[in-house]
Amino acid sequence: MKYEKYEFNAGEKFMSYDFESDGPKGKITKLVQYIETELKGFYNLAFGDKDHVTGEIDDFVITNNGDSKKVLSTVVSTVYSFTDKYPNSWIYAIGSTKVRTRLYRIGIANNLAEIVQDFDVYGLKDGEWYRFEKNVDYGAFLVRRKISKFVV
Amino acid sequence: MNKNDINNIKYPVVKIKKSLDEYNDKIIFKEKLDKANEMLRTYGVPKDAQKPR
Repeated sequence: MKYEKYEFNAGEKFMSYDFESDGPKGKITKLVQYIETELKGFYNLAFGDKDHVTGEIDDFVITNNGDSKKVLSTVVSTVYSFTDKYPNSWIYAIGSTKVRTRLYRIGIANNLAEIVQDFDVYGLKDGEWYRFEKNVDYGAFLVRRKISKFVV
Repeated sequence: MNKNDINNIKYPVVKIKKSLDEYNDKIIFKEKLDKANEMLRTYGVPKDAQKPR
């Protein structure tokens, strides 16, 4: 994505990432996790805010730190990092609310030309998976890295 | 590498933070994972996913 992005950290297995959102509400740690679903090779992507006091992670909180595009762009960067390590994986993503799912859809649509250079992108609509198209209201997303675009 | 370089590259600059590995086998977003499993069970995967690469 062409938007600004934060620098981020990865665990040694590249399954968990964190970065700091920096805005009017101060510095907020975001945690990104990839965890395999019941279906081998399919990983759920989720991210949320880490509470500095309790250490709890919350993906329902509305942070409102004025940097949602930068946060999403950074999360997309972790998708690149994860799929560099696990090139045959599928990444499943859905928002914690319908509003957030729509936000992700808009983010993908706004960067579709760039994203499809590196990923096959699918959206779930009416119980079927379709190649992602703009202006279609999808309920969930699946992406897979294209083989030809790997940097070896 | 400066901020402009970071913003212009597609492949990220990654720093390794070992403490993040504590989350690897921890299901932090359980509701989301449960929902993902339910959706995949119900709707399956794209036809392309069933073909070898």
